[in-house]
Order: sequence, then C-alpha cells, then structure tokens
Amino acid sequence: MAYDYFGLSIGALVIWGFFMASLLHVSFYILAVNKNVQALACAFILAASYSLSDLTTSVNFESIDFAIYFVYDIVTLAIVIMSRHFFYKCDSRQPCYIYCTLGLTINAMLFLAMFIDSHLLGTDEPWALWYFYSSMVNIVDLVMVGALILNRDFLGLQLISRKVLNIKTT
Amino acid sequence: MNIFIKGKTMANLNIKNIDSSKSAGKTKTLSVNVIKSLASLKAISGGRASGNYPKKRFPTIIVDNGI
Repeated sequence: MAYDYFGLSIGALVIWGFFMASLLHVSFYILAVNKNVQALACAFILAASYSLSDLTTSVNFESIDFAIYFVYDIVTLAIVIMSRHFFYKCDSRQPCYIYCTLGLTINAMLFLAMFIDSHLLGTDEPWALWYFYSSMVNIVDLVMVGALILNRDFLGLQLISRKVLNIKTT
Repeated sequence: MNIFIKGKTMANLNIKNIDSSKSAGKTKTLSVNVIKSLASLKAISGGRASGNYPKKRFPTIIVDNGI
C-alpha cells in the first residue's frame, strides 16, 4: 500500500469482517435461522487463517513475508476445499464458497508474483505490479468479507462460472 | 560516538562537543532521534489483508557508543 497506515486499517477491517461473518453464521446456526454449514465453515477458516498469519509475521515488512502469505493462502484454500469434501459434499456450491476459493487463488497468485519480483529478482522500487497487488488484495479481501456475510452472487461470478461450465460440457 | 553503515564509519559524534553542562541529557536524546528516524523508514507489515509492501531497503545501522 502506498499509505502504510491505511493498509493497517484495511487489514484490521478485513479480519474484523471475517470474525463478524463467522459470529453471524454461528448465531444463525444456534438459533436455527439458517443452518448454513458452508458459510460457517468458510468464515471460520478464513478468520482463523488471517488471524494466525498476522500473529506469526513480524511488524517490519520483509520481502520473504510474501512467501509466508502465499503458503498461508494455499493451505487455507486446501482446508476450505477439504472441508467441503468432508462436511457438505452433497450440497451445491454456494456463492460464499466460490468467492472464497476464487479470492484465495487470486491472492495466492499475487503474493507469489510479489515474492518473485521483490525477493528473487530483488526489485526494491515500487512499480505497476506492486500498485496492482496493493489494490487487488484489498478489493479481493473486502469482496470475500461481503460474500461471507451476504452469501449472494453480487458480482455474477457464480453465474459466469455456470455458463462457462455449460459451454464446456455442451 | 561512531555511526557505522555497512562497516564504514559515516559519522563521528564527539560527546564532548555536543554535550554541555547546562543540558546534560542532550547527547542521549540526539542518538535516540537518529535511530528512531531511520527505523520509521521501514514499512509496517499491517498483515496479509493490508496490501502493504516493503519499502526501499536501508543499510544496517550499527551505533557504537565507544564503550
């Protein structure tokens, strides 16, 4: 982020959002308003993963941190997919699941690109990729929070994926 | 006090020249300010969702108090 403190606020907001989403789905589950295990599992896994990654990395940002974040995203993605396989395999994919898996994949690719550029290639001056990474990570994380709370296909990604899959099968 | 950057002496601060009898703690305050201002140039992590990136790398600063 070009402005470190704005990034700090956004990061805190995203983690708070994940916790609020998991709390919302836990209360819905307990009160039997909506027993949505898919949304509950996704929100809980993401909240745990983001909190753990913040706790385990240092305050001073180093380029190696991108590799750690990349591993965190891949592991989180694997856990989200595995949780579907074990707990709600028969259910149809809900928007929150699709948005989370897609969001984590985009984030992982961005972290990998940043790790290669800043750590392996040794770039130390911000350029287009860095600004793109900064904006995209924030947008993707906020979209994931929104998808977990609302559980709606507000960007039409599910619709597009269904159409693409239908075209491929026909 | 000597300030080394990458093993080279970049600045020599003579305590006798800076310190005066009227303000005894002045040297200490100055050295703290130097370190603090360099440390603040490092990027704050802000976590995974912050979108922050590391700022330009700075050389390691070693402050030798001449002890």
